[in-house]
Amino acid sequence: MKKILCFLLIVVMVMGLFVGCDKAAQDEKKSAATQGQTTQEAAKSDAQKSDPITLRHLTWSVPDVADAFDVIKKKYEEENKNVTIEIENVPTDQYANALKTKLFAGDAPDIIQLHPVQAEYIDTAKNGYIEDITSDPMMQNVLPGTLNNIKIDGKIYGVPYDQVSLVVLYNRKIFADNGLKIPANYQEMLTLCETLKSKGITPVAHGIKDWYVVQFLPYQIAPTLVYAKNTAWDKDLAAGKAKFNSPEWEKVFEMYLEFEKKGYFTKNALGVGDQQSVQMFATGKAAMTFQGMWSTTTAKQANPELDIGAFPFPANQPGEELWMSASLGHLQSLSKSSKNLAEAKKYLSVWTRTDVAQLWADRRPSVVSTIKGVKSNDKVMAELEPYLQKLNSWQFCNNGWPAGVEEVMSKKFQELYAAPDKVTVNDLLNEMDKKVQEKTKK
Amino acid sequence: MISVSCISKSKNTVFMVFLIPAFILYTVFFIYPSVSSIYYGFTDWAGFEKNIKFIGIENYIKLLYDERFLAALKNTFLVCVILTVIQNALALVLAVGLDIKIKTRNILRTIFFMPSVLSALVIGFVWSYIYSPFDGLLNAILDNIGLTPLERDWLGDPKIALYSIMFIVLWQSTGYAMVIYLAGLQSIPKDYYEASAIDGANAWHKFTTVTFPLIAPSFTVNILLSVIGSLKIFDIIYATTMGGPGYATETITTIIFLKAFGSENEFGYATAIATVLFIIILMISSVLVKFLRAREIEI
Repeated sequence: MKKILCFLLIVVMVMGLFVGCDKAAQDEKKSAATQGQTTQEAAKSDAQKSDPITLRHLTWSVPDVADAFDVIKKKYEEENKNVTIEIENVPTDQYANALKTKLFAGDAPDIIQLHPVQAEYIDTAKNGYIEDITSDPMMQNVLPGTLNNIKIDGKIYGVPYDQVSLVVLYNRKIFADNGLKIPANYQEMLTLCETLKSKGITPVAHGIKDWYVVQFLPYQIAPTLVYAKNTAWDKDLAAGKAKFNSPEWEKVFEMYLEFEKKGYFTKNALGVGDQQSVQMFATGKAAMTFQGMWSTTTAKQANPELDIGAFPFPANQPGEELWMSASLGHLQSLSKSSKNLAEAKKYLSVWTRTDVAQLWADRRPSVVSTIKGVKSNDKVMAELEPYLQKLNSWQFCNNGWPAGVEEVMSKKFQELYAAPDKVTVNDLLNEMDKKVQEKTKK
Repeated sequence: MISVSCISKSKNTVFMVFLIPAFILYTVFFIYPSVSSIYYGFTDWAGFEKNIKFIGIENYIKLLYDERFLAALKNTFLVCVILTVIQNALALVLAVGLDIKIKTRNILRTIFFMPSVLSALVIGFVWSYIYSPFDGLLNAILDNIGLTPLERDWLGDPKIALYSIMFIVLWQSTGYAMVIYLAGLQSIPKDYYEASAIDGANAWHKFTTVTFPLIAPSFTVNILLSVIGSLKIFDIIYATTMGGPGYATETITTIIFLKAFGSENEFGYATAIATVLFIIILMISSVLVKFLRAREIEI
């Protein structure tokens, strides 16, 4: 008897393994439920004639969004008294999990925010979770240039919102004090770093403890070195005609590693997190950092005195054309299974109105709007805007890759960074090719 | 005693009825998901795919060739062995030390137990800052006491990151094991010590011949808890390195999480790994229980 009891006890303890993951989802439901209660009560107190409708909008929060969602929510609720918008804000790193849990459980939100990547936008569209809005009148308000990258077999399944860029953020004061100019090509960039180093200033704050940060520099280099030469490179990759293990991609990563070899990066990059590296830059411990434009907000929070500038990473040789990085921040899509699809469509079309999009842009100064007629009032953005108008640009490279390749790239790069004598750039590229093969085989 | 003898069969049925709600909840939210997890391990469920196909043991065959999984398996066993041995040795020393009548005994017990009250995530984030190479406390202390050469990138160096994490777990869980040993120590009758003192035993003899054999039940519990706990280690890694840098601190549980909820969403494959971990833990703990219980009976 004792033996059996013992055995059962072990089984029960071990079973704990399997349910662990469910807890987050349960908590989420709980908080969603309590949120729902309060908004419903608010709706009741409004004297209404038409049937009350509640729309659920699933979003993620990044540090620089501020209250932008709430402002648009309130505006819509004022214009449509019978509608309550429930913003369900999930932390960025948990967003994909939350979305999947909801979709699998048949608990789809009416409006879904999506990253423009294979694993989110394309997969949800292909599996019939989101509505085709190609011919909807609201698409007329969207800048046509932003639509090219989001067409799936010619159809559009979401409103593209925000264009974001990966850039070199620089400390204008350090540049001015040392009489430095913005470099126009790769040679000038190296000279600039050498000058800074010789004056005892670390050129670039760098922290890749969080693996996703590894992507920030290669996605600025590859547009010039790879995609400017062949805009169909991603298609060739999927068809097996192109490989990562090639001279051009080798050059991309060698350019990255050159900064490490020449001592232009801050030390111990593998132990420094994303936010920490921005802080190092913000507090003047380094003159530049390779980051997304969204980090200007966090940098200013860390040091309000900071005078930030931005320019695209000059990966070009003298005389070569520079392509910069510019990608869609996110898409707002409609759930196909929504019970209030018409109302949800109406709500989403309000997002494409110039006055509403302007409200959003004013609260997110670090992004460029995709809606016609919206102007940016941000100083850093103003410096970057001429580049965006003049230069060709390419999306974040992983948007065109099979899911999971960017993770292999980043983690293998971390290994390479820790032990360059053991792992080579070719190993890294081979691993990426292996992942591509694994994913395209299916 | 009266009440016990009064329980008739009909009353037993009444009690059973009261158990039904709990049993249903347990079945719906625990047994059913667990069992269906085992099923999903035999499917190709991935991403947002709606058509889930049964693919037999394909996932399990894939496991054998997955270098990432094998590396994680190695890490997990390394963590398990090192943590179990050091944690129990330390906890036993602490417990014996704090069983002696000293003035600060209760305060010290509280201090050592305190870390296990904190949430693992909180501990993970706090230690991330302590270990940080940029403005971290640990390196600053080493610097100030003249041990600059010992400064490291504690979580960023793949060679030592796993050990840095193990230290955090030790710091967190040793106090808990200590309390279990303390409880065991207090159940040993004083007469045995007096008898052994009369026989001329010194402190070491007392420990090896009286204390150690008689705390066998606490020993069983503690060893089991730390073996199972360290095979399932997840939260601290999640909060500190997320398995990085590269793949250096990945364990089976972090792989399960990253495979299922990372960019690839291989749910089927991830549950297959979970099933393997389940079997590993089941086997190890059954053997351990048999062995440790046998030792208890001998006494």
